[in-house]
Amino acid sequence: MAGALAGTRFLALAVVSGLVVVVGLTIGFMLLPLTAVNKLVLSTLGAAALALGLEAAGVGANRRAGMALAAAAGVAALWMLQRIVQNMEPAAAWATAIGAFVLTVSTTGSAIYAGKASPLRAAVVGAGLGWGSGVLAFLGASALLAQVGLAVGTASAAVALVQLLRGRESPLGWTLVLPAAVVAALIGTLASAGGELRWYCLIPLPFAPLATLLVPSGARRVSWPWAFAAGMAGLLPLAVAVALAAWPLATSTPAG
Amino acid sequence: MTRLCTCLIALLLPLGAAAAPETYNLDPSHTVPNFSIQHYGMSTVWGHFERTTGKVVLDRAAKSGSLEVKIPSATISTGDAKRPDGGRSRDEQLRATDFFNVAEFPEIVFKSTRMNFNGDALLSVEGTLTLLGVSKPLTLTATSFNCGPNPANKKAMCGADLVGSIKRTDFGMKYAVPMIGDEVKLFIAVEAYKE
Repeated sequence: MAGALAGTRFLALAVVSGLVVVVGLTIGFMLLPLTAVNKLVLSTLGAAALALGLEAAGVGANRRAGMALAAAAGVAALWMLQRIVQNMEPAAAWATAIGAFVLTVSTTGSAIYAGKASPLRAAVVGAGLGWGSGVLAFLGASALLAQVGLAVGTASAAVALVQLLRGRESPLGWTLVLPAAVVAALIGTLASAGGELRWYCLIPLPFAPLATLLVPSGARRVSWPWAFAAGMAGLLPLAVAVALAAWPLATSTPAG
Repeated sequence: MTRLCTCLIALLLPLGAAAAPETYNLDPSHTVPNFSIQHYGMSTVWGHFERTTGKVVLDRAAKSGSLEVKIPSATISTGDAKRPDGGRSRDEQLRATDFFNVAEFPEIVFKSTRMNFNGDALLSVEGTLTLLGVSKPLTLTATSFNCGPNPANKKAMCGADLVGSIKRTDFGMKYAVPMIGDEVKLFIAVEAYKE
């Protein structure tokens, strides 16, 4: 899919194909009742549809559009957690809702900001966020969410790989990173609010896209060393998050 | 004559009351939904839920009644509640999103639609089980059913053992099928005191 779309502005579709495959194999497409997991899938598909719509309409990267998309992702997080929050005590409910909104807005916003000028960087960011959220979900007691995150991360990596193999970036599609950023933030919040992942493990998540900016784009930015370096930089905050989540489990035996 | 009538009415009143539907409240300490499920094709894992509440209405004269059971899903216990090494226990995994998703669906509910009797004996209870927001029909077969005074406290009570089975994938609980079995066998012990 990534190869077929490599010359277009619709590479976000390739990222979503990873999501569609994993949902078909695990959760299924019977999306009723509207559980949090089903809302996560719908929100990510919605983000992809929005991304494709913006690209088709020729809306360029700008701060206002980026902020609006990030805010929409935050609202999606609140929608996803609606029933969970309703079952909580008021103080915990407010803390969870505000935390989920802030995390989703900041993760989506930073991903759009980091990836807006470079489809390769956007794909690298998407891969890091997908894989990172997948590992965090696994450590937070949800293998199902982990599979979704890892699949989106792998699809984003395929998008990066295709650009590297072609030796040039795809036409600028600034919304490319949107589905991966949304799914990563939603997986993180759900693994925390509905699972066992400790909330503070999610704090490094929005910093991962920004960390890739530590490796500046040079004249020959479509190069394997650059992609590797940017990927490693992005993985640093995610490694901190994973370490925080894995610490309590490090000396234990897995349940089965 | 008036006194005779009053006496007759007073004598007949308890009979009339006995024929009316009687309401019983489930005793949470003796109402235990147990379940078993195949594990990796190797063995069977057993578990149960605690603090189950609900109500039974019985009209034994009309051979009918109703049963409503509310099960707090967070009380699931499979003998692996807390690990001394701080690791994630099986019960914690079962409470998370992949299985019972207790943060989102804190209650499992069974509501009967019909109780079937053979004489005084309860045969089965037909109803609807709501799990993870999905409602599906479920028939529980009674393997025992008794009513009478509690031998210890003399309160009027009824008790039953009910068995049945569901497919967890019918309720959207698809994770790890078939490694962890799809069919869940239910063994529900019910005791209830007359209101």
